[in-house]
Amino acid sequence: MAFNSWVYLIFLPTVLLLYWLLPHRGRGYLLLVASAVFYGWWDARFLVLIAISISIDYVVGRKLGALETGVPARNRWVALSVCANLGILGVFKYFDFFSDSVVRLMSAIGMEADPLLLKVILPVGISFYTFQSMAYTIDVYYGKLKPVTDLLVFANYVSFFPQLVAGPIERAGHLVPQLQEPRRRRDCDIRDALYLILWGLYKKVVVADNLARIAATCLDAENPTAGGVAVGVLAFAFQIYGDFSAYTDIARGSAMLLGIKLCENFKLPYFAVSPSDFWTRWHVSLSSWLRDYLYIPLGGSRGGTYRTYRNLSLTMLLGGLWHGAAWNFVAWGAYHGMLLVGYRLVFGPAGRPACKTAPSKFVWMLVMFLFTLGGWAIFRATSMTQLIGFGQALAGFDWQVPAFALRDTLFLISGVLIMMILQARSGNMMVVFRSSVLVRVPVAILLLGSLVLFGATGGVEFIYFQF
Amino acid sequence: MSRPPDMLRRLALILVAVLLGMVIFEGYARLADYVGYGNQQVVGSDVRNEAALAILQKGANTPPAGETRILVLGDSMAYSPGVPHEDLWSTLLEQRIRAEVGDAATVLNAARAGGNTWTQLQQARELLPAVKPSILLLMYNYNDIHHQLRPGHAGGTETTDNAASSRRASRQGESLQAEAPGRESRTMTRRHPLARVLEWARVNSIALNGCLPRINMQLKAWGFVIPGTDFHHLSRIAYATDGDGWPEIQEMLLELRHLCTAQGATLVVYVLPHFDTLRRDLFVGPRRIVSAYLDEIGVLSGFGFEHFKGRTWQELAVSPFDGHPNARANREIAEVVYTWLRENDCLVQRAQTVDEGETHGSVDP
Repeated sequence: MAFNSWVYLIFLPTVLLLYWLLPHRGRGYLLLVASAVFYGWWDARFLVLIAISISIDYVVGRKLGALETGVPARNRWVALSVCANLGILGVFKYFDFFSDSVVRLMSAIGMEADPLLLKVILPVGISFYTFQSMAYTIDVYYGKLKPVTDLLVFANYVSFFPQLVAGPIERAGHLVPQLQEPRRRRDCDIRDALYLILWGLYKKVVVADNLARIAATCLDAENPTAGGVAVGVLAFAFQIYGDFSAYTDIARGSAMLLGIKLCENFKLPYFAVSPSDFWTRWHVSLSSWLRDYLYIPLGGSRGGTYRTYRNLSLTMLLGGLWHGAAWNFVAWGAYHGMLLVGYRLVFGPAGRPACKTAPSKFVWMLVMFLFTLGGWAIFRATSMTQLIGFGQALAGFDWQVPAFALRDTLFLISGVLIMMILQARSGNMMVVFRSSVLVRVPVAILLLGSLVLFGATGGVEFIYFQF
Repeated sequence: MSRPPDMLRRLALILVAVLLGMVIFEGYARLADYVGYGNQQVVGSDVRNEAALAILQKGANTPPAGETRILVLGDSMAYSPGVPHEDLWSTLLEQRIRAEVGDAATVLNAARAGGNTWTQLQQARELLPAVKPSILLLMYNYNDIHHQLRPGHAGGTETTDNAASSRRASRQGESLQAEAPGRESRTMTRRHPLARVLEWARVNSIALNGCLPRINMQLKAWGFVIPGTDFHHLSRIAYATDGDGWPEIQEMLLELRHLCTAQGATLVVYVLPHFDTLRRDLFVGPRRIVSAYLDEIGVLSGFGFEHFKGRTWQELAVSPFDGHPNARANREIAEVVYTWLRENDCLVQRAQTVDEGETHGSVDP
């Protein structure tokens, strides 16, 4: 079920009504059923995978809790959890990609073979819930967390419907206590929640879905021009930001109505001044996951300069692969790895320029934004041929832009840009929605009206569903 | 004087905020209109096969024995803006007929965006003697009164479902009515009072003018019809009450039939559904009425609703801004029209026709 569907508009109020009528334990069961319906609406068969992930990690968590630190059996239990989750991910997401890649490689060196392909459809949200579930067992293993003894709470932690299919990837330490404690209606900030949902819908339906059309016109053209590629990538940058941050906002808003606070996933990423700054603002729940469960275990920055660079590159490479089973995602990860290393080489271990004045900060922000656009071009390319085509187009210096593309792009991103500037200046992401009624209500009318007037019809899926 | 209670002050503040919001939204919509956002799909009123038609009109064009020559007249659904010629339903239909009945088949798509029965009648008068088709395929449309225009008016530019273009359509409707002073008495007489209020708002506010058709469209997609809207008028009043233009349309269809008979062509009528009404057949009433009349005058009619029933706009429309058929829908239209023509014996095998020494490749249905 997509947030931007009419079904969800009926589903959420129904769940809320029942939820606030039921006692604490009943709410837990209701959430579980609601999450199953939410996920099963897309394909009920894949509920089995979530159930497997929940069962294994719940048992592993209990076993780890029962064993003393240092007992070798603990390693085996945590290995079981990691292998099971990565196994699910490997089979359903990466098997065909690797199989096909191996066959291509063999073919390149003159060995012919037929690829063994499973041809299974990718279950939505698989990368999100497997990472979330795995993080729990790893935290229990390191003793950072006590195991969850209530299966219902743990099942809700893994399958909580607002963030099940596209995050944010929650940590058990943050979400589980909220699920364990009885929620009171006064804890739930209805106004903030509704504004978050409205703002998310605006970003998705008005901004992202309309920009998708422009990006496709500019980038998927047979012979793109330099201008077309530039505008297309700009449109895509705001499309993917609008799309993904919209999902997070709607997820946070929906969870807030249930009395649960999810973490922020986006903190004005296009205002970053360096790659490391970017990754503390973009998809924060994933980048912090990669930092805690990959970069630091690899050694982080503890083993000297060379090892730090290696760890950064490897983390970003795998982070790229996490986004999808395709070489362009790997290349995108490698590109960001190179950026991180490059900034460290230029600016030292901090990896960021010293922005002492506002103009210098603006310049470095612009530079980083251009680098980010370069990354999005790699991310958006459907094949290496297309990516090379982008490069050739840019080298052609033909700055003609498909009719209306630039004007429509600027018009669509203007609203998001204004909001981002207001948020950055105030340092408060809810700045507009917590201001006077004379600001809040007109903004709500503007957003609602824009949804009706400019909203793209047809209900385009969220991009991050496929990851 | 005592101060008003807090609740009243709060309500007043909210009311002011709502009004302020509406003003700001109107300004935003006007800004969008000013910069021209979303208008890239405005449809022209040219003819699809203009070049081919021009060639045909120049010379002696009696089709060779056994050639199936179909002249298509229709509106923007048949014109299919945004779809290249090679993917157009009429091109595909031509290929399909050629594959089935031999090489001698031509389908000339003379559909016009914004065309209505009046413009089609004018086109038929001009093109039938020149093109000499064996079949005149009229892709029947709802443009006659869809934009509150009478069939006697020349069709304006068909527009897309966005604020600016809808407003243009409304204004165009007004100006067209103003240009024909003798016809005021024949304009919509049975309008719901709410319709007049909505019409006023629609014409004067860009925001409302843009939002209302979209809300209407969504409600249509769910199977609801709001009293007072053009769609309500079209689907529930115009045809059913035998007024508001339907008698004139009947006359025109009859004239088309006579023109075809005089030129040795067969008139056939096919009705495509609007892609935003596929959840429920909202045109079932008008369809029956149109069908009954066409039966009465001996014209074969076909309806595409059953084929597209239950499908989504996303699947069939050319873009989120434009509900005209995309390439996929064009393929399906070609197939469904081909099947319909074949099942009704409108297409005759070339070999058979040549044997029989027929002039045209069609039979009267």
